[in-house]
Amino acid sequence: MKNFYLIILSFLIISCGGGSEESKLPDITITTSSSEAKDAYLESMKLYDLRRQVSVEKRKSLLNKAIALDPDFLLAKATLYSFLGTEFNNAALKNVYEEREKVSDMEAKIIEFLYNDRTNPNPEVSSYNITMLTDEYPELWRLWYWSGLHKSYNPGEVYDAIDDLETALEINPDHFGSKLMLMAKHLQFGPFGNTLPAGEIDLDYLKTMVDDVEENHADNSYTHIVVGNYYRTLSQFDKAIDSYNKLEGYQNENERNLTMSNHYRALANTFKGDFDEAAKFFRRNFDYGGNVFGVYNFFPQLYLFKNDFDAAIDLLQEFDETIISSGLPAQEELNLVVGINRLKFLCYAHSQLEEESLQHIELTREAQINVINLRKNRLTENEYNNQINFTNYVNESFLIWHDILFGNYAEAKSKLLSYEKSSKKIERPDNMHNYYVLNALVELNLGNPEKSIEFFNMTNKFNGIGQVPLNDDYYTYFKGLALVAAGKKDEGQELFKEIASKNFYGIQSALVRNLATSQL
Amino acid sequence: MVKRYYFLLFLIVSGSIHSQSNLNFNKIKIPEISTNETKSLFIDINGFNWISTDEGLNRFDGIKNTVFRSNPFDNKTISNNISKSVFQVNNKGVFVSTSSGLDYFDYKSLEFKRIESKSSPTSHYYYENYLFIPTEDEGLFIYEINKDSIIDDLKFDPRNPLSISSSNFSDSQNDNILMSLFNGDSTLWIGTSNGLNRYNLNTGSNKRFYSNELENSIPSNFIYDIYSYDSLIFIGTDKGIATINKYDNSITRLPFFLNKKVLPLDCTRFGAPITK
Repeated sequence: MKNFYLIILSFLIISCGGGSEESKLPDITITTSSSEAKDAYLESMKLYDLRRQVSVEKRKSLLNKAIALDPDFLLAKATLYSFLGTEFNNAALKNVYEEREKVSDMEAKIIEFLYNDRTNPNPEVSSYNITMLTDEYPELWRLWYWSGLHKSYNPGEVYDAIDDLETALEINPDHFGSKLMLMAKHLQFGPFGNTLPAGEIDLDYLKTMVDDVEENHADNSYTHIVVGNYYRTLSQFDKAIDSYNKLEGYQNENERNLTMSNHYRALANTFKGDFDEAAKFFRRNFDYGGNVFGVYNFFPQLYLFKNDFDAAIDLLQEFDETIISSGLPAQEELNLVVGINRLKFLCYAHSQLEEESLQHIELTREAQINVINLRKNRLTENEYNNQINFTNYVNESFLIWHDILFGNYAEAKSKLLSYEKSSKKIERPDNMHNYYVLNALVELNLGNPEKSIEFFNMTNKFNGIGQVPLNDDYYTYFKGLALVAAGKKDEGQELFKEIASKNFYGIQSALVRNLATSQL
Repeated sequence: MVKRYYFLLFLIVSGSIHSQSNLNFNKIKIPEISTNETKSLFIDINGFNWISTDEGLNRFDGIKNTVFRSNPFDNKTISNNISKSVFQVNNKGVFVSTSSGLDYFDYKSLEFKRIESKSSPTSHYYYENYLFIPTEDEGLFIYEINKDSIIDDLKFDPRNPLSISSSNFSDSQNDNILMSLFNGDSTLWIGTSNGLNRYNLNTGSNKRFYSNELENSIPSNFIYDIYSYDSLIFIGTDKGIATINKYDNSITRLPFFLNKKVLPLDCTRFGAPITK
């Protein structure tokens, strides 16, 4: 009975809303006693759809405001701790999940979806949750959008994601978030999920969408990033940089526009081959103290693109010394320490400095354990143990990779025996990916390309467990080499072309992009 | 097939033992030698004795000894006081291996020239106008003598399965580099401290050979010596000898030498494979 009143209340609140075209469309139920809390919630959702990368603090503040205004606002709490939010706290999310019967049936199902997305390693479960919701409420664009958003991150559901996003756009034709996610199927940029396979990228469709956002969302600063990234993909770097320059004009909207502008100009200049100019833009952000994550993670990669491991190590050394005085929250600082040590391992290993390589594998593991311990009180015991086990598994992966990078193939083979068992214990559908890739690398290096291809074919190139960069371009490059070595030159060349034509930052691309180009 | 090679080895052993029977030794005192702890001696085409030591390189002409020492501010001096060995490939000068790199002493200018090898040479292999120099940890470089330039630098690259199996070579290796002209291909056999390589100089492609538990693999990854005879390449390792058929790359381990450390394989010089 209580639920019934709550539903009536929330419908009343929604029906009282006015304003934009979007707000006139049917939407989800939002159970709250405070209309101000509901407004804050919807504003945070809008910011997420418009430009999630630069609105983290604002969204965090809006969601916290909504919860402060209505401490029983379960949907706001679930959102805050989910992929739509800004916080990581599975223990709090679990509490919300257990209380979900207090809100409407629709909201309870949304909470279940958000909970499973965050806590269940099998993405099929949360996909099922959101699909049930869109089946039940096909008139609600937001559910279609969330469904498309969620499925965009599962390589096996990219086509379903496109269908769902198109449905969202049919209902809400001016929705920037849906347009962005649809473009991201044809244009690689940022954390927007998986792109379509290379052969299915449609640049004409992309141009239509780019024209659409330029025309209808010109006031949104993020539009200039989208347009810039489009030109970057076409290797028209000066046009891309022109577009990124425009972001500087939006500093009154958000000061991060300046640092984002610097960041994107740094990336475009890297691909252009103007490494000094790229370094200048990264250095600006470093000195300004903005976009710290971008600087610490991407600046060293510039030197990997340049194949200059010594310079990358020098820069990482500088970061090591300055990170303590950066004033970052402990969690962020530790995450950066993990990243710095992981990058150092890659640099040392590719420079053939064995002792240093091993040392930084261990430092990466230690830093990761510290990260987990820091958030221990926000994890259930099971989650804590799983994360520790996962860290050890990542460490095992690095040690085998280290052996391969140093030509110790017999040692790598021997470690792979126990690694197979460790991999099977990881509760993920793609838990064997790294095992297959490492085997494929060993066989390729031992001169057995056919056997290597067999291993490569056992996995999907998009899969791969985070923290171990053995997927994407890195994987593709070695698969290309194996194909060429096995006499399948054309197939191999196709893969090299794919890597060489991709203007996208990432550790995998940074390591092999130039090498792939040289194979063409 | 294997019996045939044992017979061949036997013949070479007999001949070589005979030729080594009349060696004479004299004790020579070198005046003002840099140190009595010598590393190697080489007599060049002009009869000079080059004595390598940890404290400089000595050139003894029979009466007078000249010590060459390194000066970090003068690149026309020897690159390091720790000289390892001297060798010669023409009548214009001698090459000197030091713990830092490779130098060339020119008879005309009486000066050293440093060749940028980045790491200490462990041996050398001379073929026509080219010097193949394996180094301790910077791979193998190919030096074109007439042009006085390094034309290639072969290293292990973790991102290139066609690169050579290791950049590390050891002083304890002997003739671990060998040029083999076979079936129109110029093949360079490269024995490293971690694997053997068949490097095609025409195409730049490389095939690695590693030891594993199978009988048709090389006995060990530490290669001491490589020797060519007919269609076979003999590989001496620290765990025995194997042959590689140049036609099909098939490998056969020679059971007699199994688990024996095989040092020089060149039977024409040493009589028989030296084992430990």
